[in-house]
Amino acid sequence: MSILKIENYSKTYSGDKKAADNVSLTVESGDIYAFIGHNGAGKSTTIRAIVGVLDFTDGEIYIDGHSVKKDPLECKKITAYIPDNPDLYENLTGIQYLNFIADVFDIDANTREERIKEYAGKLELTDALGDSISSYSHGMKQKLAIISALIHEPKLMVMDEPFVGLDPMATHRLKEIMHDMCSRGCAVFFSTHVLEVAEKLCNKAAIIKQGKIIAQGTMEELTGGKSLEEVFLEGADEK
Amino acid sequence: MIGNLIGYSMLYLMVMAYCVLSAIGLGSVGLIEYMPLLNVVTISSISLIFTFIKSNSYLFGFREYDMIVSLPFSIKTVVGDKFLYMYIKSLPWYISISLSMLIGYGIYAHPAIWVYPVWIILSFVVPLIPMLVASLFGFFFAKISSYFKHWKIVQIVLIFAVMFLAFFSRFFIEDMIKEGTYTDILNGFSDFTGKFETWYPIARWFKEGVLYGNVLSMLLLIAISLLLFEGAFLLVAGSYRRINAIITAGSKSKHAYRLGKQQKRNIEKSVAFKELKRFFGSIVFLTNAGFGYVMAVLVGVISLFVGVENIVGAFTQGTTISIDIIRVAVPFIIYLMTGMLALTCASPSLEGKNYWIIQSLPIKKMELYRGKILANLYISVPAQFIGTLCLSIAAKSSVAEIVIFVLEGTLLCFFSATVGCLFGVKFMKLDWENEVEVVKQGMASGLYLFVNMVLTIIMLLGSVFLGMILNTYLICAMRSVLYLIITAIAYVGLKAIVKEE
Repeated sequence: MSILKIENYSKTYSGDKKAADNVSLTVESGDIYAFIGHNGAGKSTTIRAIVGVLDFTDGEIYIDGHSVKKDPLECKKITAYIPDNPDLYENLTGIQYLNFIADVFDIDANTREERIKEYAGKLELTDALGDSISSYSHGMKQKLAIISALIHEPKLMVMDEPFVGLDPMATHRLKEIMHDMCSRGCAVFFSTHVLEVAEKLCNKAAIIKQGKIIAQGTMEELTGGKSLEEVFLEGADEK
Repeated sequence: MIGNLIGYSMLYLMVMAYCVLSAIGLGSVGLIEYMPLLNVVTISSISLIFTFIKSNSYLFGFREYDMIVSLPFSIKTVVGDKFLYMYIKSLPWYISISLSMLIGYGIYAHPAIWVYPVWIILSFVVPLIPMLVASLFGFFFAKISSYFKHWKIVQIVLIFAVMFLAFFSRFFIEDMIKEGTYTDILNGFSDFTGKFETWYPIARWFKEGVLYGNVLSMLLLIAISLLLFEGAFLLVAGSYRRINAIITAGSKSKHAYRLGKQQKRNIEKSVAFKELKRFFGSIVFLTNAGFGYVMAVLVGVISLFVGVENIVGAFTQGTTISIDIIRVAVPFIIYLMTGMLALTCASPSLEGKNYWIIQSLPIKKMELYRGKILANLYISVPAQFIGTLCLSIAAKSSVAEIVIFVLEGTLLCFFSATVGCLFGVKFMKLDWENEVEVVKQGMASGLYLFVNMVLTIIMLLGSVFLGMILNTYLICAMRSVLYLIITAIAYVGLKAIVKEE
């Protein structure tokens, strides 16, 4: 069953520049899906439309059967989003931010305590939860954003460059979390430039170039015996 | 965007109209030759106070600090350029004031044609020294507070102390010139201006340059301003990096956090908690929006000791008003302070770079804005309550009157927060670089200030006049119904805007 379905999505900014051009793809339950493209290809534009941060008129996006345009709240209840550079509420402490997110998702006190304990422990952020977010490094903010995304056990996790700024242990733990989520029937959709990680971690991928999907499918279909890097570079060279 | 443009134009026109009227006032009493001096006094005092409040947010802890300081520029250059940026952004206000006063001066004094370009050119230089002085004060306060663990609290206390000093100093100045007959007032004014020119040479140089075409005075004004600009930031450069490190470090607790029992809140209360953390965590937001609340409590408490007639007399240039008439206006006297600036005018825009969090969460917009209104009420209602209670007691109100005044004051807080939120959402500006742009200079704040001030003054004066013919309870009931209706309309308006989004 598809958790995420994008149908003919297009986004044009002022000045007639098409950031996304007729993008269509499907993410099934259990998929770890990589969204790959060069800088400015349209990855963030697509991701931001999925999670409701960017309005769009052309095309449709469905999350677990709900339309992002018509039922945005229903979509957001089962989605988690981690941007590439998470600007969090600097005046809150880590734990206050997590409680704020948990309040929005109506998570009861005991459940949130368990989940915060689990994920903050895995990502080694527990000790710093009492500190102000303004004192966090980029990597710590990234970890906090990941914990806040997992606190409501989303069906779909959407991430923009999730591994940037994470230390090796945290990167390893995040991969474990992603596998664990997918084994429970959820899905992960993320953009990345690190092709080796995408190749090892993901079962499916799509390559976007100048707003258009140029290749998509299972990793085997996409690579056909070559490395993902070779496939990507071939696609980048083609005019 | 067009709405913002119209709004800003209206604000500029209001400021300019006020200045032209001041000029007409001076001209009609034969004091037009003091116009250049009034121009310098107005621009200098406004630039001094406003720069003092906002300078630190421009000079310290700005987003691109790391990148700029790592480039091959001296620290003095970096700070100087940040100051120049603040100066250029503020210039339109000061030039509007100056041009308006020039118009008034031109109407009454009929000066020679060369006066106009000289006045305009020198007006660019007039705010420079007050802004430098204010920035240096701001820097010293930042330096002093950086030696304390809770540096933010120390800085806020120092800023509030200066703001109160500036606020109450106007009463001393008015006392110096308002005594006695019309002739005494004129003589008093003349003495004051003479003293002012002595210890503030900028005023003398501007006046001599404009009135007498004194080239030496013009050159002195320009040269001294530029020299001080060059020299001022040498003082700042030495401690600049240290202060920035402290400001941007954020607070870290000494001990590792131990996860304990967590607390669940409903969405509105959770948003309100976040908003209050934002409010108390920002020096700009707290000092600008919090000043009125602190004033309301102080005025209320002071009235218990000095009497309500003296409090009112201080604001009405000594005019005696009967306590029976003042009593009916008590909620509005306090509301003049608590309603000065609603938190909700700025809080929607202050989401800024964090707005993606709200956009990606399953939170209804009205839940979000109700949370912001609630945060505003958490601050305004206690301040209004304490101020109203104390002033009512000082005005010898009955128990029933006190209860009605407190209830009415609470309704006013709802009005303020809701109308502030309506403007705050309608004129939301998320792409700000500095909080000052939305807290002090935002369209929402400006329009709220205007609308609220006009309505409050009408209510205050209306209450005083009606107090002579109707009983207190009836007046309170009429006011309450009116404000209830306006608040309801504002809330419906807010829902309509949210629906459009």
